[in-house]
Amino acid sequence: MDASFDDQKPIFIQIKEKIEDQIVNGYLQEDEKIPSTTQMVDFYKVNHLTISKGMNLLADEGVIYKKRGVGMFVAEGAQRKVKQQRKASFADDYVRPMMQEAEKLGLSEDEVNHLIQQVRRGDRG
Amino acid sequence: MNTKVDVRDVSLNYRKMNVIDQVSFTMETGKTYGLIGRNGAGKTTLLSLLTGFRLPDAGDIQVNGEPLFENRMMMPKVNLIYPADYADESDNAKSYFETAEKYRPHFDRAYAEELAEKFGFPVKKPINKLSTGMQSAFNATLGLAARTEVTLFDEVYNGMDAPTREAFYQEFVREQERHPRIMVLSTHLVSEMDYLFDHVFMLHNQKLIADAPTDELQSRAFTVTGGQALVDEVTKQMAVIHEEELGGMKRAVIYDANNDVKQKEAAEAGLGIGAVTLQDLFIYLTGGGNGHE
Amino acid sequence: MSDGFSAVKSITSDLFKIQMKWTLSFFSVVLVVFLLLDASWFFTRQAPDVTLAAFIFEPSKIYMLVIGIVPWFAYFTYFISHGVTRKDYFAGTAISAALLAVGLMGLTFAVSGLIHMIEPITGYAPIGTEQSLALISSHPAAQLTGTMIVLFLYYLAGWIVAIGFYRFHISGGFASIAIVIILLSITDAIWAQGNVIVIDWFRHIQPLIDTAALPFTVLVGLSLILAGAALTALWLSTRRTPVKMG
Repeated sequence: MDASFDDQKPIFIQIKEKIEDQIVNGYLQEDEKIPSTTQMVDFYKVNHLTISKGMNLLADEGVIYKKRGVGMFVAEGAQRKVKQQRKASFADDYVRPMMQEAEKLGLSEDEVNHLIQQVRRGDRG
Repeated sequence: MNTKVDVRDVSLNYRKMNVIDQVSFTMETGKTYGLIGRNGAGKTTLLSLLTGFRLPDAGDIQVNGEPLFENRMMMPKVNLIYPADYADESDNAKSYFETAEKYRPHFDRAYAEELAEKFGFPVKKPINKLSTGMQSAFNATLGLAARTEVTLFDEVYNGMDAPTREAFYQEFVREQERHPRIMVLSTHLVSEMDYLFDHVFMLHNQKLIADAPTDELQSRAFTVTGGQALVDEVTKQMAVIHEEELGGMKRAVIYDANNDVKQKEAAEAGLGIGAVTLQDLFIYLTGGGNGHE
Repeated sequence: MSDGFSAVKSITSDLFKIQMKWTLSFFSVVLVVFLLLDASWFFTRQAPDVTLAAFIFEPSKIYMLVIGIVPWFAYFTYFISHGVTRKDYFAGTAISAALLAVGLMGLTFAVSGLIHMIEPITGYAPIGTEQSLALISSHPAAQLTGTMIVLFLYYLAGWIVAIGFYRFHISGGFASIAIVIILLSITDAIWAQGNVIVIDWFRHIQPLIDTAALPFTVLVGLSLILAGAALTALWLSTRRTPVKMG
């Protein structure tokens, strides 16, 4: 769990993504209470209004839900939902920037594919 | 109960010098206001006006529609915490707690004792025998535990070590959640506290030069980075508040209420766009000798 | 603090308690000095010719002047910082000063009474030939009243000096000292029967007024007018004074 932010995206979006990460990684399970705004303010050193904005976004998407007077909880099927969304935006978020960089460097598609396979093999072992 | 503070066209002169120049703003319960300005910008003077320690020469300050100055109902609800000179104070924290308990309607004695333990200052030792950092922690305790509707902290961190400051910030956030009030934090050390501010008042050369929600204020500013010639070309029609160059590259900081359009323009021209921290914005807007015109 | 909370009452009682503590120390010291000076009685068996009440009067005037100065610097900022209005602090100071004058004189008369009561055991009986206020020696109650009013005026004088320095800096401080010299000279001229301690030449114009011929109530009335004027000046200097954040 990283408490740092980059300046390319609004902070509340990055807060949202950090909570999503915890859900995707399984640190936060379904129907589990997510950390309170105050806890997140302490941890991330981000204003509570910004945290709320990120949480509201997740609530609107149905990833988390609110129990009055108790806090926010992970919704049923949240992990699946987040994964689906991330798959849908995978091309935009990761592949496109990669291809742009490859183009800048003059790498062919085959060379890129080769590199991908190399990284995968490296990971295995 | 909600409290609203109205400051209208307030000016103050001191020995023929203008110390506060036609300042107007409002504050409401539940919000934390960051009052930022360089040394001598008038932060402490403004806070002393907000506490009724002084009467402005012009303009007025009202709390819930009533004049604040010498108002018997309002004065107990306003609390200014400042780095007081305790050199001659041989009383201890305990006796201060007793007085506060008597004169402050919502003072929580148990919470004050709890904070004393947390911040690590002895309550039975004369206050002039405490270190500067401990005196500041004691001040912070009085401010948090008095739970006044309007709580003003003037450079409260004075001499506190990093762990105590951190503990104070944590308690501050919790208190604002448990007992929402109008909180003001005056500081010139912005980077450490900026996340506490919901709203920013920037004071410069006796005037209020910014009065906006923190995120909105920050979003007015952005950086553009790219080749020097291109940056110059694109930013020709923009309000540049700062620029720096490094090996043919140039970074310019734009401050513009119409930032969405300008940002898009810059991005479409192929420049890199970045955010600006509140600290940097503060430096750019107030920096440079006597400051920005 | 409940709805029935009265800041004036609280301030009055807080200031009174603090200053009465100082007053008890002052009184004890004076009493010890008085008894030591009278120690000769043990050897000569000759009754001393000054009562405690007469003996303590002059030191008390100086004492009241001094503690009129001190609390302003020690407590004004302190209580205003705790949310008390200038108005309430002012009223609390004035009332506690009056109570202090009553307290000090009450203490004096109580101890005098005690000395008198145990006379059969000790054989010690200071007899006053010299009264604190010669004019009204005829009646103890009148003497008590007169003494308290004078002490109250001396306290106000100290308070004027405090405000002078607090509000109007060094120059105002010295101006306030001049005002106080005049105020106290008038006070002494009214009460002290040619025994003016502050400005000596007041003694020479005194026969023109001849306060000795005036009835007691007129003297009290004159003193109260003087106190009223002093309090008005004090309030005008206080109501908008900036609080020093020291």
